[in-house]
Amino acid sequence: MHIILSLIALIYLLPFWTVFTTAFKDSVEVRTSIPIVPPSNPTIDAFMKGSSEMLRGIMNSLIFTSLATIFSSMIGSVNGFVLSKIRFKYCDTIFLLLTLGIFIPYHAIIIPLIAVMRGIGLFNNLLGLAIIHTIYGIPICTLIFRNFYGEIPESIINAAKVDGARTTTIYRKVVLPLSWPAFVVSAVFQFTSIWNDLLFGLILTRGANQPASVVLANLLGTTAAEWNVQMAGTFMYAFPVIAVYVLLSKYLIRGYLAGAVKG
Amino acid sequence: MDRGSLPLIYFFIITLVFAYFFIYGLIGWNALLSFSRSLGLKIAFEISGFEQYLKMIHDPVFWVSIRNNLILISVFIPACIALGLFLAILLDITGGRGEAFFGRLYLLPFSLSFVVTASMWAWMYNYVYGVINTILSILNLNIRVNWLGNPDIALYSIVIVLLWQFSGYACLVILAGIKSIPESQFHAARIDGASTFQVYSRIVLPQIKFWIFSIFVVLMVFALKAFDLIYVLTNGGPGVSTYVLALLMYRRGFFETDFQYGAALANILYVLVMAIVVPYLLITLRKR
Amino acid sequence: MAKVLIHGLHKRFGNIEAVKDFTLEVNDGEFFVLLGPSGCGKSTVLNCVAGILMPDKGEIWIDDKLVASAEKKVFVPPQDRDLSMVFQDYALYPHMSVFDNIAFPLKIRKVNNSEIKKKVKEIAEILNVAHLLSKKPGQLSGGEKQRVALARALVRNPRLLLMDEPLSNLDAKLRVSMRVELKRIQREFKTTVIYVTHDQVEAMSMGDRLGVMSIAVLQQVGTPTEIYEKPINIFVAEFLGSPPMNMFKCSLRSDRENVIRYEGGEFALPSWMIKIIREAGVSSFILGIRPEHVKIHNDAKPGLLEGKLIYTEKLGRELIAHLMVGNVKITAVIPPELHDIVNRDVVWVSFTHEKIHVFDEKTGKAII
Repeated sequence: MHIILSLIALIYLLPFWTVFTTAFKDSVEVRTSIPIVPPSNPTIDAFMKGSSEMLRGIMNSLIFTSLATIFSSMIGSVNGFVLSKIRFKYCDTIFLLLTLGIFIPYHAIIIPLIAVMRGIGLFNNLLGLAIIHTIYGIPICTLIFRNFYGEIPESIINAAKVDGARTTTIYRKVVLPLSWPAFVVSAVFQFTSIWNDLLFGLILTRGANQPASVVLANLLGTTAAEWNVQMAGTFMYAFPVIAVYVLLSKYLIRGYLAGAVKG
Repeated sequence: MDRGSLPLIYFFIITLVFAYFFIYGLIGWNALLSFSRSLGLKIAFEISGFEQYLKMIHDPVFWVSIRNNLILISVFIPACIALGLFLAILLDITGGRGEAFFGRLYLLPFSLSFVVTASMWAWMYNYVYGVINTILSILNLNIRVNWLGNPDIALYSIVIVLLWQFSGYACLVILAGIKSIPESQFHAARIDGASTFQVYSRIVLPQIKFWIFSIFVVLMVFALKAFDLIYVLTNGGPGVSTYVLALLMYRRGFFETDFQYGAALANILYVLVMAIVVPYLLITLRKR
Repeated sequence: MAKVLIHGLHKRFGNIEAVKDFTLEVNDGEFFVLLGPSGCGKSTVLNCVAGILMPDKGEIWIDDKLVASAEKKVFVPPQDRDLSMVFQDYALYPHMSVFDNIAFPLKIRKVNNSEIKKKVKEIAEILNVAHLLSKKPGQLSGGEKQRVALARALVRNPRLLLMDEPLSNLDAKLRVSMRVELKRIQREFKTTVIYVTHDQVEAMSMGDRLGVMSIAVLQQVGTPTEIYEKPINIFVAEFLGSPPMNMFKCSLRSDRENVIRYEGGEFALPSWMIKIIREAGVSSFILGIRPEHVKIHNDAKPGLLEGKLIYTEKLGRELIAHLMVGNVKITAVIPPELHDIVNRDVVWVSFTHEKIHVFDEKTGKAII
């Protein structure tokens, strides 16, 4: 059985392998050798060639992705708490409408968004990008935390109330310390989604402010002949996400199963 | 709800206002734009009725796009679910560490950016140097397929890429569904005399219908709004054979800067997606 | 209808030995109960017989056919062992109607439809679930689910029926009535039953024979009476009987022949007992006496022991007295005619000699 699974695994891993081998080949070998075969003279030429733009792109991505991840997670935590532990009228409807926001195609808001960003002077701006990603991350982070807090028994909250704590205190001292798994899920999921995003970067930024995803996409258009450069760029861009996956897939999977979807 | 909860509630309301504005507010604005006449480089609206939508009907690429989206829906989705089901059952039978290890392996592509996937597969599909054609020629099959350059098959090449990327996810969800069935039912079925095939077809499958439905919805939404992968991999080509709705919106709206027409296309996209998602959410919430 | 032979069964999970050297023969048509506390390995044994688990060592025979042996590389899968099983959580198929649940084993074996209908209706009548046939398991109560699970198990008229704590999820009253029902049905169908439970009352009332298990080892096999009256070690003696057997440490006195000492006093034992104890080579031992064999007397007489009454439990008709005899706690069941002793501070106690058990302190085994 393991044999069958391994054969299937080879098919899934093949593209990764070709990226890996091609990225380390020099320009001659790229054209002459079979892609599956590892490089005979591994070099990091390819990495050097496209590096300045790619690294700048990666820097940009790191900045707004980290900011947006942190802030959307924090917001999600508060919102999740309010929606699950502080019940009030229309609570469910509000939540439903918010959850719908997870599924909307960003194409449907992107044109007005340009006008808004230009209007407040945050167009082509990393901070602006961070804010946008934070806002559009609110629905999914709220969902993750609301589900998580739903699992915390009412009795703990009630015990704290009887002990005399106010709700804000309960949140800070009782709920928040328990929340770290949800924070990890939210952070991992948001980091991956925002890092992987293309559309916002494509339309809302230019030149030096572009995230790595856009840089890579442009690379494919221009240096089509130099596949090793292309693959090197792909490798650099994909690396953080793959690293996160290898280390923290458990949390990412929880996110996926909570109803979080990609794209 | 006591007075101590007010700061939290205020915070919640503020973020809610932002979220709702940027979601529903902008969608509404977008809809207004779609009912306006084209205004060159201005993102503003002067309502003029269904002008943009009529433009859509007469746009031949629009119909190509719709057709392609439908192909994605009718080919990609069933294939993906079938593949996911196959993998999930294989993994469930394997059990133990093998199941966890391989399950995560198959899921890896799902976590990737579409840009990465497109880049990888552009290289895989390369006519001259690409892995696939190279393997085919090694096997002396003497075929070199023009995966991305042949308008008749380009879209299906894309479907293959999507299967690679999404099957791990379908597998994950289905496997979770299978795991939610108490093990005693498996034992009972075996003792009742059922073969492995019968256990999965008569006991497991009927009970995971809802999980499969949720994958279906996710894939459906994706099939409608697919953009990133196609933009990077083929940009709609060769010719217009791989155009999809979202890509057309980008081209007309941004590349050709007809914002109002783009808004109309985006609006259609939005309506289609909501038509799927809203009933799904209502059904799910009712079940809880 | 089938006899089962388990020989030298061993099963471990990782580092834990769940079953050690288990050997048992279950007779044709017998209702055999495997009894023991949680985690003792009884369910593991059952699962090995069912074919859900594969033994690490040892053999399992059903009706002279070898169905499992690690050494001989034989493993007959559960589908082919022609047995039935009822699970603790009933394991009903939630998406099928009660009728389809019961019919499932027949459908799998490609029995024709009219035959299926007949058999399902028959068994449903016997188990009083005929009125539920069109419902789904989600709509049934615990007791009803229990009976449907039983119906599914019996519809094939199996030669061997395995039951894993089937009554433990039911409320007390239902458990009592189901016990009677199960026994009646078993006798009617003449099926061999292996029944696993941790409830000793269930075991005593239902079993033709019992097997008591503790920490992976089969301690004793016998009829309920045998096990109750002649436990072979401390564990078995303590496990059966409610309230549990009184146990306390005693030692022989070197100077006075027939007297033994306990903490806080001494009393006399018949010479034949002392002789056996000496022959066993022990000078101190554990004495066991069941609460119903502790006799209470109205007045003091020589040879009786003084007991301070600590408290009494009145459970309906029964009265249980907790006494302090010397420094030892003793429980006694008080017969109805002596119920007025609750008003006293001190009572007089003796032990029925024929019912005294003596256990080796180190090994726990019974000497008498």
